[in-house]
Amino acid sequence: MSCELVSTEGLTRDFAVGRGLGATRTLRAVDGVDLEVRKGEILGVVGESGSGKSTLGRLLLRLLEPTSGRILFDGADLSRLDRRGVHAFRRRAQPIYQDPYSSLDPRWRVARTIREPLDAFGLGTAAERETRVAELLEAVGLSERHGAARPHQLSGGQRQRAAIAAAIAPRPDLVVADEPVSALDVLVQAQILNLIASLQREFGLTIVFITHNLSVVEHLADRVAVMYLGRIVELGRTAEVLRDPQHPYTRALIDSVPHPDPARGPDLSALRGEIPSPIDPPAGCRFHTRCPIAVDLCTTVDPPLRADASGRVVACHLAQLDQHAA
Amino acid sequence: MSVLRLDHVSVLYGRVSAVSDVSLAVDEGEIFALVGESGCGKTTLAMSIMGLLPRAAAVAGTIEFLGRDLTALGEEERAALRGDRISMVFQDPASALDPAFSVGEQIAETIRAHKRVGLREAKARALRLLEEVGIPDAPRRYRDPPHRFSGGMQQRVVIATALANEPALLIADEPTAALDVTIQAQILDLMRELRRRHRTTILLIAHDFGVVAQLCDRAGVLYAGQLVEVAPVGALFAESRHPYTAALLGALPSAEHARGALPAAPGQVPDLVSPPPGCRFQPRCPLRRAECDLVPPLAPVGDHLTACWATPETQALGRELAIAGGGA
Repeated sequence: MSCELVSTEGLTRDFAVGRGLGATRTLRAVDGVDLEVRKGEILGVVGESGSGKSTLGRLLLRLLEPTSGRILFDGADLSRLDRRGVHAFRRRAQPIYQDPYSSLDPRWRVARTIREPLDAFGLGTAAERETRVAELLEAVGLSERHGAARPHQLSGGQRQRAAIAAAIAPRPDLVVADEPVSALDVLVQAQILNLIASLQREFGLTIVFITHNLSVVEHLADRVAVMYLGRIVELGRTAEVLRDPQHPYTRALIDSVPHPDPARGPDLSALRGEIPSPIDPPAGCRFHTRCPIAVDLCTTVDPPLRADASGRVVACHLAQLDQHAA
Repeated sequence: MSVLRLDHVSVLYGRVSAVSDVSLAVDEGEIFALVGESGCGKTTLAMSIMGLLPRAAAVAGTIEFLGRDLTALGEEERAALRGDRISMVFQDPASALDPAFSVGEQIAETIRAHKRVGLREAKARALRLLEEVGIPDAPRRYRDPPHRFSGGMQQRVVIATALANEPALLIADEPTAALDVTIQAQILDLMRELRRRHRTTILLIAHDFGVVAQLCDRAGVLYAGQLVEVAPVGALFAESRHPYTAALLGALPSAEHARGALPAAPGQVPDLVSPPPGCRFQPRCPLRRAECDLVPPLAPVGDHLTACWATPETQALGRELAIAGGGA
């Protein structure tokens, strides 16, 4: 099948963490992740602090090298690319960050930032690049006046639009968006989500959308991967995972979101305790220390990811998966 | 009885009109939310109540706390109220705690700054507070500095400090915005429990409608410095009366809207150096009409107070006020 744009196999990334004088310990931020990102889909990646979702995003963009495991992009192993291969990959995979200043040079006019990738990758003639910058500004809902402005002269929403224009300028296949709307107010957030959806449709983008916000995932993502302490614990079609979560962590995450409707009653805090340190994760299932249904097995044996017939995967000993469902 | 009553409060930072003519009352024992987007004036209002606005800010109107006008008090009197009768919880617990002192000492110190109690008694009370806010193994953790606690536990310590002198009013400015969602749920539970036990009046500053719905009794919605709607949360979420409130609630992402079809109000928040005349939401409002160039009064509409010329009640009140004004 060639429907995946990206697939990872046993993707793992460690960080050395200083601890006092000299002694270092290893923090395994991403731990053996097998993931497929299908062409043209929006894949939501959700999790709390320390879940490894941002590290996963940086690995997919090759901004970090994996400690072990590998990433196939359009069939090619990212760690085996030569210089030309890396250059080509840089064009094809683009980031969008929470803080648009991460991708906008504060000294440059916005139009120059959007033009920069066109120059860097030698896309089109000088005249064509000018036209393309104007088209991109229009595509993200900015005017020529905004193009002539510097980032600090724009509002937060306009800056994020400019950063998005720069990201899609080189016509990437993959966009990894890490909390792109988390710093934005509700009405601006709605505008930017609409923009991302329309660009995805127009350019057939594949988007990995990293967020802590389940409502955003519910609205935007075709499929969702739920991460906890470096692992994917559940993955499946968004509507199905959110309607009928199979992993107790997914359920707790859903139950913890305060619903904007007082009639839905206060959701009692679903989970006791705190997220354990990823430096020293629990043995067995990493979630067992907070899990409301854990049994003895969970404290010793790490549950493998199991798939049901519909393609939902869950890493829980106690999940009842229908292996034969249509 | 109102613990807090704002009467025609406006705040100017130089030429920036951050808060414009806000009047509201918070009753004893209730949790009242001020909601709105960045720059709507909710934090400025909180700071004006605390007396912590920068010197350059000019406050007009009156802020009555338990019947005293705070704006008439000197800095010394206001400082005496802070941390005692009025206390505050901020978004970032790490910056609210002193890294050099143990969490227990900080609470005991807050008590001794305002109450004539001995060290032993202050310590005992600090320990009880740590236990009450759910710090596990509190007697041992009393001596630990803040950095030994997670963000959620730090926020519990901050809440304990804020409650140390049993304030009549607790102002909580986005107290869970920096926390993960499972930890946020625990802190919201704690706040509900503390309110039930102490009947503390809480003014919550929030942008998350979920938090407002699950924690608060009433809410006031601010837009660009103007208070546009006040209502019990049930009524607010069931049937928002102001077009801005409706726009905010309608734009929350969910599966109810097709992808890319969130009803996002066009345009953006106005520049508060030269805001539009009258209702500041009018340039973006689907119900805009000629009267919108005048500031609409907050008029009772069912359970709501709404400042919108598109409602008959506001129009009637406007006519009344115009007549009263003409006779004066």
